[in-house]
Amino acid sequence: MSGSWTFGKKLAAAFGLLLVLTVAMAMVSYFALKRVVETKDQVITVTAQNLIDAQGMLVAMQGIAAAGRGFALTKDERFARGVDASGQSFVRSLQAVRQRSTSPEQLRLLGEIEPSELAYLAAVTDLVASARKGANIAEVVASFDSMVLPKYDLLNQKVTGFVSREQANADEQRRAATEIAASASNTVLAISAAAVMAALLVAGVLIRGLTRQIGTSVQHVRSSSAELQAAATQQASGAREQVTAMSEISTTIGELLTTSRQIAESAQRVAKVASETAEGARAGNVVVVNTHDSVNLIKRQVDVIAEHMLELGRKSQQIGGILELINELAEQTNILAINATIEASGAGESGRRFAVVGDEIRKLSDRVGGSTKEIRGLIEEIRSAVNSTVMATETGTKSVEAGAQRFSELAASFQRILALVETTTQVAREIELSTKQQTTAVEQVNVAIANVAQATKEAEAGTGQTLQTASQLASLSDELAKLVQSQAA
Amino acid sequence: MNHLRLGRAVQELRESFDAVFRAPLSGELSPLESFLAIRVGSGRYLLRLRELAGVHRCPPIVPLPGSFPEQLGLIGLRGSLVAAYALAAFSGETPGAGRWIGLCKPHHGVGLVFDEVEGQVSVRADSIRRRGDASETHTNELVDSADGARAVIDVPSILAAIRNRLGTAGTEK
Repeated sequence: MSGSWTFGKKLAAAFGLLLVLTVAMAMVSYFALKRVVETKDQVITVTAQNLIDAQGMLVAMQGIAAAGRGFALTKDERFARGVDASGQSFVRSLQAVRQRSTSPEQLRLLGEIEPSELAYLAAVTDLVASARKGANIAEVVASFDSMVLPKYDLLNQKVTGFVSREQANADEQRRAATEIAASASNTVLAISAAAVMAALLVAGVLIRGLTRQIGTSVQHVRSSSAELQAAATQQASGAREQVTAMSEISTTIGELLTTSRQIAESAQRVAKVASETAEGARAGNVVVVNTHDSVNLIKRQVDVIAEHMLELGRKSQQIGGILELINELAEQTNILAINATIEASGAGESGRRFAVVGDEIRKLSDRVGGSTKEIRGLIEEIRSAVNSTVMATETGTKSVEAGAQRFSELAASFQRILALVETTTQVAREIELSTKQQTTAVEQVNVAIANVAQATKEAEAGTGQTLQTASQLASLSDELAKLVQSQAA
Repeated sequence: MNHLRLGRAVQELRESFDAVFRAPLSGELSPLESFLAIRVGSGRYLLRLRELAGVHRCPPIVPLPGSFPEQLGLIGLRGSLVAAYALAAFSGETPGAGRWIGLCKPHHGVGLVFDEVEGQVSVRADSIRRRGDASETHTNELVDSADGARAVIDVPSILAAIRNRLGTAGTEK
């Protein structure tokens, strides 16, 4: 994750680590000094004061003894008040020590001092009272030695013991403070060493990481500058080509402008011709309608002709039937004539006459047969002609129907042509208008192309500047790479 | 054009008809001989009219059992029975429709059946030629006409052949 950190993050992390170590070192130093000071203060303010007050108690004890002995010797009341004053001083010192003492050992020792002091003060007070009553010196000295001195020694022992205890306590606290100070010094030294090591480590890591990262970035910059240089070179080439292309486009736009004007003029002529064509189409439509009526009339006439031809065919068939009858009669007549000739050949003279008649009848029947053949041929020709005529009329009828259908289609086509021509006229007018608008637009495009050409020339100049800047950036990246690599090495 | 041609034909017909009846009847026999032009199968032949007793449409023929192949059967004609024989069988032609029958003279009870009557022709006697190699077809003569040579069927020869067959059949029986 640290690999993706920025320089600011890495530096902040390094300074943060050093700051933490410094703060830790300062905190350790602070608390160590505070502990040492507290220990010293304890030694100075409590233990030393206790020692001083203990010495005050010893002085007060000696003052009580001196004042008692002075009153016994002099009977002076000032010594008696001196006893009281020393006693009060002892009590104040004792109370002060008691107030500063917290340990059970101290309180126990102080508890043992207080009754000894009261016993000692009572012995001295009795000695003063005895002296005031007039006891002699010897008695006073004896009383002092027997009554006061043991209590003095006991009290002195107690106070001295307390002083010894406080002295030992002071020595112990001083040693503890010294140990704390030494420990704090060692801790500070360890933290300082750790901070130095951390600083060295962070510096090394930072230098190494930053060198590698900067080196990589410099390589990237070098590569990018090379690519930028190549792109700028290509862009410069493209810009030059673009300038050439824009020049060609400008020329083409000029030609397009000329062509658009010609198209507008042509569209105007087309609209005029289309209008004239529409007039012609309408006139043609009228002619087509009239021709269509004529064709329908022809169709009806052809139908009548076809009907007559069919009737003629039927009549010729009837004639054929009758002719068959005549032919049959002629054939039978011929046979009769032949048989008559045969009969006549055996009938003598009258038979010869009859044979002449029969022969003539046979000839007539032969002629009738020949005539019927001719008539049959003529009827066949008539039937063939009728059939041909019927077929021709049927073909004509179909042709007329097809013609009528085509004329209907032609009329419809004329209608469509008329509509299309009108549409063409409208479209031609729209084309004329659109072409004029297009001409205006082309003129605007021509101006825009000129502006673009100018901008392209400026872009070409800017591209050259970019190429130069890319070259400078490449040389700068090379120099920076050399610097980084030399530092890394 | 056709009207003129027909008018002339009618005039010629009328004049020819009148001329025949205006001319005096000749005392001698005509040098011409009359034939009946017929068709048998695909062959065209002539029959002498003087050898025929009549020509009629052939009525339905009733076949006879056990008759020989040339005999087709019997027909009834004008109240008489006539034995019908196939002329094609005697002339060596393929039998056809057989629509006509010619009655032979002097045996009216024998008829020869043929296919078509094509007309009557009269030819001079010197235009009739003999042929020597057709005895089996009963045609020993040829007549030249406008539509080519026609063989003359020898009816007595056919009648002799029929008698011969009938005699043979009777002997066999």
